[in-house]
Amino acid sequence: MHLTADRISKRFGGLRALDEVSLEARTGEVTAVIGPNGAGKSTLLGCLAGMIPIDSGRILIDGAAARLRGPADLIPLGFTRTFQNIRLFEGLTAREHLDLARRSRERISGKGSAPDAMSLLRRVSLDDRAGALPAELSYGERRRLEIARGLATTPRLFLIDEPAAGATLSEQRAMADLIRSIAEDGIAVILVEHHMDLVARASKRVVVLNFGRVLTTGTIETIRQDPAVVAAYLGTTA
Amino acid sequence: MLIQQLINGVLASGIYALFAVGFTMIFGIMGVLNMAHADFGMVAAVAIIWCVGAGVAPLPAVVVAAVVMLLIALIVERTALRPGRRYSGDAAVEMPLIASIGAGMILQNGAAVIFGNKALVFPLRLRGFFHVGDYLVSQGLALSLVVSAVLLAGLEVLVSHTGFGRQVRAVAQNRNAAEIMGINTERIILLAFAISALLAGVAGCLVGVSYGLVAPYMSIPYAIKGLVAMIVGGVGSLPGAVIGALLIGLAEALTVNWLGSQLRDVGVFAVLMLVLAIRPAGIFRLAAVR
Repeated sequence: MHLTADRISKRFGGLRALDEVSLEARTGEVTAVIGPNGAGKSTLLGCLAGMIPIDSGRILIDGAAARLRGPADLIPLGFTRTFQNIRLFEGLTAREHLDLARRSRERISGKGSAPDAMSLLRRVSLDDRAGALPAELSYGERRRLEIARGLATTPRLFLIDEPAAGATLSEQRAMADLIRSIAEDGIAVILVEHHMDLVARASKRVVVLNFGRVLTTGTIETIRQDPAVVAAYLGTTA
Repeated sequence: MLIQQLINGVLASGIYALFAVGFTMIFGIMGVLNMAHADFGMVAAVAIIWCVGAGVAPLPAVVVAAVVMLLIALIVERTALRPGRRYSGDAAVEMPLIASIGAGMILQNGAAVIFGNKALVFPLRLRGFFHVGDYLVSQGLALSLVVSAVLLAGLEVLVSHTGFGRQVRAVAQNRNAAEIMGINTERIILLAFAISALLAGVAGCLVGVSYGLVAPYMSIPYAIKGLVAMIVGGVGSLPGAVIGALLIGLAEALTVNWLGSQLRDVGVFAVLMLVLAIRPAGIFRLAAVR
């Protein structure tokens, strides 16, 4: 899978949320999108997920234009996503979340096409919480369940929105390792995140957004030394 | 006399529970009140009367009535409720509420024009009584209670223990996330609506079976009791709707015993006010079908 966002623009009234933003995501790689609050990161993720209609630009999958008309198109295209504000089903147990996602995948690709729920729960260290409702899980566990739910749909592209919000340092590291392992399994990952340490641990390619525009793209090392990024992202004078 | 009234109250609660569960299911999944819900019961009952009157045998008449009622219910869903899903905020709630009141009035007045504004004799009535010790148990109401219990137990199994039920709960709890999981939310809403309409249809027919008469405007008191039972039990809770129905059935029976049948609804609304004062969110504090 090779996803290309080609000069995507989005306006909300007078606010230009995205201004000709381009980026690429490839199988086996984590493409991180960073930027200060209001830079347009979550809007970009919403556009890539078909949940926010774009005003102009194209989204290409392996060179062909993707037909993203709404959330219902995500699973057939092999896309999945998590949210900045976690969206779980409060009346369903952890296991039921994964069964639901597996069933959706199997409706499209046939029986046996989705991974076993318990193996996914083990992967995100929730195998002993299979019968727990979201309200009984810690914040970090809820984040991991949302990721496991996405994995249960056997995605080709995983859009992950601020997975370390509210996490401790050790949880951030574990999350970075989990995200890297997802990419290593042959999934293209686009990661929106604030925490630079997590980004550095999980991703080699970073896109920096500011005021809806791509400020720069590069490795975490080059990004960290870019005076414009430091000024925009850290709010300091370079 | 008191025990006889309590028996009557428990027996009557079966029909109230069927209406209440339908109301709460639709509210839990769609976030709207379908004020035409109880009218589907009237439509099913008068459709059976019409079929049997035309010479159709009872069993095929029930099937034809179910099909007619489902078609009418789906038209109401498409025309009165579905347009509201294009909006958010107050409009998404108020538009279907008002539109479904209108749909209910059309169904009631339509039935009155076709069949006359009068009570109609239901052909499949059960008018006998069982003698249990010193007490009488209406055969029709006993059948209603058994049918209601079986249907509601089946619904509980469907919602709590099947893949379809998981999808229903997911749509009720977060429609947006359910769509991302690949659930066809419109299909789930339509199926859940059809199930709730069928429950109302069965309830309407059980009114005819139990009391022997149905009428174009019969749905109004049942709509009120179904709504009260839903609120008392906790909006969106299936077990809550059943408990709410039982409470108002008993309250109604006790009021009849103490104050006479003219004031039977006083007890129903007293329970409503009491519960709202003590537990404003209802006995089962839930906001979604579970």
